[in-house]
Formats: sequence, C-alpha cells, structure tokens
Amino acid sequence: MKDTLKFFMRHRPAQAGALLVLLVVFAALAAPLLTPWGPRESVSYEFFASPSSGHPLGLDGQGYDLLSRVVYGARTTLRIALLATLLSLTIGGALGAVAGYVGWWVDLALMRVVDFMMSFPSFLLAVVMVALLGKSLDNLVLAVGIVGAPLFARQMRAEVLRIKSMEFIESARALGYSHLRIMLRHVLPNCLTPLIVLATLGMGGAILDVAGLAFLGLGGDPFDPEWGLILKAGWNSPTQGSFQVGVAGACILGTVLGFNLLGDGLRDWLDPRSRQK
Amino acid sequence: MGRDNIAARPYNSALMLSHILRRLLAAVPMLLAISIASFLLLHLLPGDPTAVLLGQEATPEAMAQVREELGLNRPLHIQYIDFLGNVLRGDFGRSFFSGRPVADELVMRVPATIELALAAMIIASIVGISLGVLASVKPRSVVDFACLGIALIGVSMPIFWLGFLAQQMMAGKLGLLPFGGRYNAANWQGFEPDTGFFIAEAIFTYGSPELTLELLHHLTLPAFVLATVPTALIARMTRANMLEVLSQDYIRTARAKGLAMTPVVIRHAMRNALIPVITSIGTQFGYMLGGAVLTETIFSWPGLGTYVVQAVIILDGKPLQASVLLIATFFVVVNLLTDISYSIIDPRLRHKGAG
Repeated sequence: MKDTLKFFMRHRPAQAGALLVLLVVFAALAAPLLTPWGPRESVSYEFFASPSSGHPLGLDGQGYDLLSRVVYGARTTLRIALLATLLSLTIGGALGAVAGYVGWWVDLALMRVVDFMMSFPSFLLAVVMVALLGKSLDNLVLAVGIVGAPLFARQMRAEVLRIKSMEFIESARALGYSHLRIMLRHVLPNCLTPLIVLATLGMGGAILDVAGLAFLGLGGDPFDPEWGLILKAGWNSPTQGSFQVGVAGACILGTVLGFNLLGDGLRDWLDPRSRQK
Repeated sequence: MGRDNIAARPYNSALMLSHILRRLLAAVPMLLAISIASFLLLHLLPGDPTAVLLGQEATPEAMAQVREELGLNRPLHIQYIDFLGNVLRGDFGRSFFSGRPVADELVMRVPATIELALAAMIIASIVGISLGVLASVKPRSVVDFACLGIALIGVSMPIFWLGFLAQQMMAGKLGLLPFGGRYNAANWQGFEPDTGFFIAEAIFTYGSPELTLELLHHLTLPAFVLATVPTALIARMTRANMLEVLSQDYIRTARAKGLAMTPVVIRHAMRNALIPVITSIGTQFGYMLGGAVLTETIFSWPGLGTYVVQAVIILDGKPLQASVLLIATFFVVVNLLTDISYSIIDPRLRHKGAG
C-alpha cells in the first residue's frame, strides 16, 4: 500500500488523470448543488444566450441552462459508460475465465466466438446492435457493453491460463478442493488487477463510443442531458452553437483523457519493468 | 532477454507456404459464420418487412402474397442457401428506402470509403512512424514529448469534435478547404463515373488534372481527421518498439563497428522495430473500412459508414445486411493479408506454427 502511494506520488500523468476523473465524478454527484436549474428546465427564450453571471456557460438552443446540461450530462455519460464497462467486464471475464480454466473444446468454441465478434469494427458493431435493440440511451449500455466484452475475455483467458499453471493451484487441487472453489477463491482474485487496468482504459473508450452513438442520433430522446447529444444539438446550428459544441467536446476529451492517463498509470504500476525506472 | 536481428534470418519457403495455406483455411469457417450472422440479422431486425413494403392497411391476403414472393415462408436453411447464392452472384436485394438495388449503391459507396481510408492510412503511417522514430532516437526531447502528447490526445479525442473544429477552422474561418462532400457537383456536371473510385476515374477515364485536384481538395480534411486515431496508435507503438530494439546488443555492436547513428537506425533498428507496426497498420486499415462512420457523417462523405447509419436509422434491412457482410469480410481478408505479409517479413513465425 505504501509502495502504491509512493509510485502514485511520483507518477505525474496518473495524478493528472485521477484529478480529471475525480472532477467529473464530483460534478456528476454534486450536480444539484452546482446549479439551481434542472437539465430539462426551460430558463428563458433567449436561445444560445452568451454566458452571464446567472448562467456561467450561457443557454443552449432550447433555452436550457448549459451548465446544468453539462453537469447532469456528466451523470448520464458516466452512468452509461460505467454500466457498459461493467457489462463488458462481467461477460468478457466470465467467458474468458471459463475458456481458460476448462480448456479443450470449450476454450476453442468460446475463443472462436470472441474472434468472430472481433472480426467486425467494434463501433460499427455497436451501431448494428442499436438497430436490433432500438434507439435509446439504455440500449447504448447493452450495445457498448457487449461489443467491449471480447477484449476482456482475451485478457481474462490469458491471466487464467497463467495462474492455472502455478504451483499453488496444483496444491489446491491436491487438497481436493472443488473446481468452483479453486476458480472463485484462488484463480479469480489473482486475475483481477490486469482487468481493472483494462476496465479503466475501457471507460475512456466506452465514453467515446456512447457519445459517438448519441451523436449519430442513436441515443433516442435528443433532449436527454448527454454530452454527445449536447454536442450534436449545438452542431445542428453551427453559427450560434459553436460554443456549446466546444464545451461538450472539451468535457468528453477531458474525461476520456483522465481515464486514459489513470489507466496508463495503473498499467505502469503493475508492470515491474517500468516501475524500477 | 536479447532479441537477435531477425530481419537478417534466411527464409524457408515451404514452411511459409504451409503457414499461409493454414491461415487461408482458417478464414473459411469465419467467412461462413459471418454470412450466417448477416443472414440472421435481417430476420432479427424489429419490424415485419412485408408490413413495411405494403403499409399498415395491407390485407392479410396481400401480406401472404408478398411473403410468398419474397420467399419468407420457406424453411430458414433454404432461405439461407438462396441468400448465399444471391450474394455470390452479386445480388444483395433492394433497398426499401431508395428502391434501387443495394449492389448498385455499394459500387459507389464502398470505393468512397476505400479512397478515404487509404488516404488516412498513408497520412497516419508517414506521420506516426516518423514521429515514433524521431522520438525514440532522442528520448525525453521536445519531439519525444510531442510524440507522447499526440499519442495520448489522439486516442482520447472525440473524433466528431475534432472534425467540427477542423471544419470551422479550415473551411469556415480560413476558407482553405471545403466543408464536406466528395466534389462540387454543380461545377462538374459532365462527371458521371461508373464506380465510386472517383480519383482513379478522374485520372484514367477523364484525364482531368483539375477534377483530380478538386477531389483531392475535398479528400484532405476528412482524411486528416480520420487519420488521428491511427496516427496516435502507430506513433506510440513505433516509439515503444524502437526504444526496445535500440537497447539491443546488435545495435551496440553496429555502433561499435563505427557505423553512424542514421544508418544504424534505418538499416538495423527500423527493419526490426517496424514489423509489429505493419500488422497494426493492417488491422487499423481494416477497422477504418467500416469504422469511418463518424468521419463520414461529419463530412457528408457518401461511403459505407454513412450508408450503415442511414440504414440503421430508418431500419432498411437489405442495405444493412449487405454492409455488415461486406465490412466483416473486408476485415477478415485484410487481417489475413496482414498476417501473411507478417509471416513473410518475420521468419520467426514459421517456427511457432499457426498459433
């Protein structure tokens, strides 16, 4: 633990990443405290009004307060990305663990499924999933989550294969423990760290995918507070909406950057080679 | 653990041939699975195609007749075999939306995407590899930090935002480049290309330098925007591989022999360090053929990506099915070619078998 802290204190990029992520999480949690207006509360008819003391970011094309849209947007975007990443982690982790632990034809079959899913550009696969499921923000969770699963499956399988050949697993087996117990108590806990790194980096990707899908008009209700939708709404009236596009885009970039920096930092921490430097 | 100079190892063509054959064979079940999935896609889409064709007021008799005509009441496996036969003959059905054969639309749209992806890939390879190599030669220099910065921001950037900024700047404020589209149709009414390979047609069929320039002018901005992510990935990968290779013994030996840094970097280090980068370029290209959705949407580029999105939004089954089939097939073929070229460049692979 002390090591971790020491590493973190010396890793500037990871600190910057953590700061960005904390900022967004804070904005999402404290949204009602940061702004008196709701995300869908018509404030005035001065569409695209410039920033003023009452409205630090001005108003958007519907006369909503842009700051409230953005902070509540942090809620929506983070919630969707988090749920999608957890879904990828669960599905991919389970598939990879079973494939790696059982081996034989189960491994072969499951990995063919993974290869098959990866034989298609993931963003486009998400677009097609939305076509099957219907356009809504909730379905974006499913689409992005399922599309992200193969990466986790591969990583998990590699980890399980590595751990499975270790001596402590052999001794657990010699003690007569059941497969389920070995899997849950001995193999899984040792596989988690690399998956957490992957999930952190995956959050960045999920946010980009969700915002991109919403931008394409696949997010259902166009007035939901979500960064991709806010950006799209500003885009639709390019002369007045540029500021809105700028704000929404900066939020997405900052958050994704935060998760990527944090993920890279975590990976460096796990990789003993870069730790010594 | 020392890596030796693998680029200097001899080739063994018989082993390589068997590796290539094995790869080709492994692609067959994948392509079959892709065809089955895209066939089923049409059946899984919400909505009844006959109802879409006839409207809500259709009588049950008319519906039954259309189902009969479309062959929708036959067993699924027969329908699949029919579908496969049609696809192999180049018949992808008709779009409900435009009423035109999907194959005719794809002839225009697929080349549009290929043109864009090729341009982006060329930009990304040149910029990414140069940045990565320069950064690795002088670690912790300005170039190195620039390389790391670009690599990081490139993968974190929402591409539709970058596209908007580029459009506002280059097309809006400076007026240097067009906002979107492939060319200004009003100025080129005599231009009636047979396929979507506009640049090739402009050069070879029409022999018009002005038209070629017009097309390139329109291609520039979307190609640079699409190149962002691959540039970042290639730069990062090149840098990491170069750093590792440059620390190897044979590089020190080459330097100790009195060779200058530049030939060592070019002849010894880059040849070895770029092998994995080439694979990644291949994979990236495969992704782009289908993944250019956002860039195409921003720049109103009439390619495969916009075709898919349009089909998804209006739930037009046949175009969606055909695009999915094509993109996945492209992807498998591009990966196959990358893999084969990899085995030609990197003789180590032969010893590992097909794994």
